[in-house]
Amino acid sequence: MDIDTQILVKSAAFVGAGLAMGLGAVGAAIGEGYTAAEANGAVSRNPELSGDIFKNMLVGQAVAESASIFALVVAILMLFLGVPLNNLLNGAALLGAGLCMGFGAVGSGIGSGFPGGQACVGIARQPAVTPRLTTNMLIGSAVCQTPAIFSMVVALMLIFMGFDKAPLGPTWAALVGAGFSTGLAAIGSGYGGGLAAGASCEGISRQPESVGNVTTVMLVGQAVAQTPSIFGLLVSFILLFKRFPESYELQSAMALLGAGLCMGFGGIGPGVGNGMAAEGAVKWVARNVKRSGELMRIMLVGQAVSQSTAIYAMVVALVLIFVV
Amino acid sequence: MAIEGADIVKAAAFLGAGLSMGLGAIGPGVGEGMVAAKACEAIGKNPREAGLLTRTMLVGQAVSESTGIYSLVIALLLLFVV
Amino acid sequence: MGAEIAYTQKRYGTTSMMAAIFIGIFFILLGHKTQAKGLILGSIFSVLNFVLMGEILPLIVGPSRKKSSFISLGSIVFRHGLLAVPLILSLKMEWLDFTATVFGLFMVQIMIMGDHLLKRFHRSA
Repeated sequence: MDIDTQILVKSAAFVGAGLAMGLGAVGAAIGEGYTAAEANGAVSRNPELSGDIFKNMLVGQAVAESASIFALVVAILMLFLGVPLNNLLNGAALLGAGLCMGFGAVGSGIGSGFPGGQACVGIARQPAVTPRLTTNMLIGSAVCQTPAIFSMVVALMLIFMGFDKAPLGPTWAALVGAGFSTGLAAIGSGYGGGLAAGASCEGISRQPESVGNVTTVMLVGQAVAQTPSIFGLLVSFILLFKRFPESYELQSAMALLGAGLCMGFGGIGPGVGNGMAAEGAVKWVARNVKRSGELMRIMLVGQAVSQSTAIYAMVVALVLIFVV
Repeated sequence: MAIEGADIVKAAAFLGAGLSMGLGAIGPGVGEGMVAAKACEAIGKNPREAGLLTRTMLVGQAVSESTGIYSLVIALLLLFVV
Repeated sequence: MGAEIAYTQKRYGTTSMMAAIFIGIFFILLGHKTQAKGLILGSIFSVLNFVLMGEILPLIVGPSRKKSSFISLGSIVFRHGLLAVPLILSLKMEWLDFTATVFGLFMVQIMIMGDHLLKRFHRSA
């Protein structure tokens, strides 16, 4: 029995590390592929600017890859830290940490590809604003990394918190659920934040004088797009810190796992939707700067409504945790 | 530890409630975002109609919200009735 | 285009290394030797990663989107394999601090963001 536990915890560490690194790398690669494809079009449109475009790409790629470096750090910690192998809960925690970091890095990786690509196109279109475009791209893709940072926080807590005293009973499901909640919810926020940042790079290259308003609306839109992943973080924290009474019935475990999955999947849609709303607002603020106040207001109203589904998901998750 | 049929049904109902609300939230979330993006486009093109467009947007979003509410209802039914 | 990439590599590579060495000396003066070593080792690999990124970049642009994604996946796996070296070392060795190594790995990114944000505030001022 003892050896079985060790093997299970060890394999959970391997699976978790593989998920974290694998998904993290795939997300970043898709984002870079998008940037490269856009850059290719930009270079062929304006070949004498290829130096500037490549410079912009290199800088953008370095920042965009942060999410997958976070995933690397978490994966290495899981493999080499030497977590005690005698408790099955540690296995559940490592699996949860891997899921959380892996999914969490996907959205940020893909999302930060959009500002990178649009900035390259923008440089070819309007070479005079290159420095502003690069700065705006960097700010946009740095904000895209925040959902991945949330996921890293939850993953590190899952790795480092001791679960010696907690009953195996439903706690294993709470730990895996905590991973799903933040990890999946981060996909939507990362992707949505990227949409807003991409639109702002496009907008600045079309209307350089709109840069101040465009950056402001982008940041507000991205901030609202982060809220589903903050809900995910909240549900994860509750699942991590609440003490669940010992119970080996299937239903108590499934309620906690269900809560994590509910908030996780429920956060994807509103995150992407909020990002789309912000994309539309940013795009039209650039073309119609005088109306930026009105556009920002309608963006916030639209985002608030699209947020409501994430709130339903949070309510169901909280009912699953506290009432059931 | 014997797991009985009723336990499995209850457990499946809880997991199902989570998945129902979680997956059910994706569609309306994205759809409402699209509506808001289009409303921004329309207001950008024609700012004088901002009031009418806001109302239209809210009606459209309320309608696309309904599938999210169906999921909520199903999730709560699974939680408390089954 | 080669010249521009080389310029960017040199610029952020040297500033990152200088910053790492300065902060490292500061840490050593305060008596935190393991942190200083970790920070400098992490920064060396951060710069190495950045230089390799620049060398691979021209290969990624050009082919179709699918092909670019595959090439960048390969390049990420290779470069992150390299970045894993200081992380594993710092977990295994007593004389390296893990947190400082992780911080060092982000030195180039910190320099890039700092450079652009400084310029932005400078411009608006």
